[in-house]
Amino acid sequence: MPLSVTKLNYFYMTGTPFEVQALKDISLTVSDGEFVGVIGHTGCGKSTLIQLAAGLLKPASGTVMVNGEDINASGYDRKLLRRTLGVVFQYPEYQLFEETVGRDVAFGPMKAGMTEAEAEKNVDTALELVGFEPAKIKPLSPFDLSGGQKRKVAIAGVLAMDPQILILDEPIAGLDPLGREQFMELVKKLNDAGVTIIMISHNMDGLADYASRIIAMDHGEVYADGTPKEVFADLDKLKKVGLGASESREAAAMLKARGWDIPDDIIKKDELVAAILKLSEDGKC
Amino acid sequence: MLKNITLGQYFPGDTIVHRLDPRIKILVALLFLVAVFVVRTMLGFLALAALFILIIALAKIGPVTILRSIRPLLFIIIFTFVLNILFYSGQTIYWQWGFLTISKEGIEKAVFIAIRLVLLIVATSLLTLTTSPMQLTDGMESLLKPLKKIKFPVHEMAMMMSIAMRFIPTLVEETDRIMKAQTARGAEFDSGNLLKKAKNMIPLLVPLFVGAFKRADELALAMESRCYHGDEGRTRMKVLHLKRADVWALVLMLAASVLFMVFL
Repeated sequence: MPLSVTKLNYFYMTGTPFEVQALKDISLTVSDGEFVGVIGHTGCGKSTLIQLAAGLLKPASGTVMVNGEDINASGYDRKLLRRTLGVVFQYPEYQLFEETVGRDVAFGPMKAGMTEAEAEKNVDTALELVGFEPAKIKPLSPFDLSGGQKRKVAIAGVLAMDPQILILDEPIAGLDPLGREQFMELVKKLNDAGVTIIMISHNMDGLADYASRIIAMDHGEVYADGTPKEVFADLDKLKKVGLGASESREAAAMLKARGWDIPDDIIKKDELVAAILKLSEDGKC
Repeated sequence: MLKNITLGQYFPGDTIVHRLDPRIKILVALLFLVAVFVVRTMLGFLALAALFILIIALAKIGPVTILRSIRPLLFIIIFTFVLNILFYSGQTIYWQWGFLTISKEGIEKAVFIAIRLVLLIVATSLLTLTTSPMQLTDGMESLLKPLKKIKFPVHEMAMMMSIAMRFIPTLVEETDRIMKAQTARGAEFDSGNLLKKAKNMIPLLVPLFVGAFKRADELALAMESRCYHGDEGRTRMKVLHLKRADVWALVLMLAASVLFMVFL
């Protein structure tokens, strides 16, 4: 299910003096099975981009194609889009509303037209995926859960729709380090199972570890697009628009600035450690 | 989806009308309301309309903005207009069908009421267009202060009003966010009959209320931790002071209104 956008433009506050162009002629394609990290400072248009991609906003001009079909065409089946493409928003725990966890998670699948048995099965699988015991958690009220649990339930509600493309907007904001790690592992597991991931995040370390591609945005335009190694290599370019790279990459750059012989393609912790160990074995530090 | 809602009518500016003390503006607006009801001749209406137009010009408000403030009530104006024409039984009858009559007096009355309604809206809009909601509540609180003698919670009411107004945009934003999140899960908000539509609102309303209550709790805590404890001993950042211009404005408007009410 490739997702592609062509010459996408979007404006906020159209027709007022406060009009801003949030997206300027954006064109890009995300292929099946990719794990795309979208980075950019606040207000760069990344949230707008994913909302357009998910069909939640209508572009001023340009097209959004999911699996070769224009999702804004008049005859397009929106239900199909909802089943294909799942969206987890920032602080998804605020979307819980049902009396029990089971019914809340089943909301999406039922709306997508699944039978009750199918939905039930998907609900169980989704709850297991996020680390719950379905039988135990399902009868509870979502409002009695802790913040972290609520978030997992909300994410299960999206996963239960069995999307082939999963869009995540800052899903790990406000989670503790362990929660973040677990969540990134979960996303990785989904990605390995063939789900295309598009994830907005400020957590460069997480993206360095898991993403297969990084798109950096600035002022409504694509600023950089490539593998994490490619994008993080040019630190100066990223700093210019208020971004940074993973901590390991930054540390490597600092060591290099002090005269260490360290390559520019180090973005993960273990790579950094390996490089330092190698230098010390060679007696260079 | 809800981004285009404009809340409150305040139209920022720095004109003599904008700078007037909110208390004076509230009093003058009340005065105008009384005048609109007391005046009973066309000449009187014209005089009031001329006065309002003068103020609109002084406040540099565009005619479109004023017309826009009338629009929400246009239906009521037309409705009362038609009702008055058809049901008022006067002497000089032009047309009659069953209990429906169109008479000279009926038309006159209908026109008068329509004009009255329009003038009422314009008078109140003049206040809300040139006074920020914060100034309005400050002015109200100050004007209602005497009621404290009879234990009416003036300050609390004013505080509630300003908090409510402060949170309208926040709630609109939140509504937009939840709507999008639920839409992404397949919820539909604009299809089906009335009952179905109401049911469809549940996924939106429950999270919205949960969020609002939570926010209220947090706000209360934040206010208390900054030592807010009601009106007693509280000082203000902006203290209202009557200036000479304010007094003049009140005197002039009072004179004009009384003149119109008595002579026209």
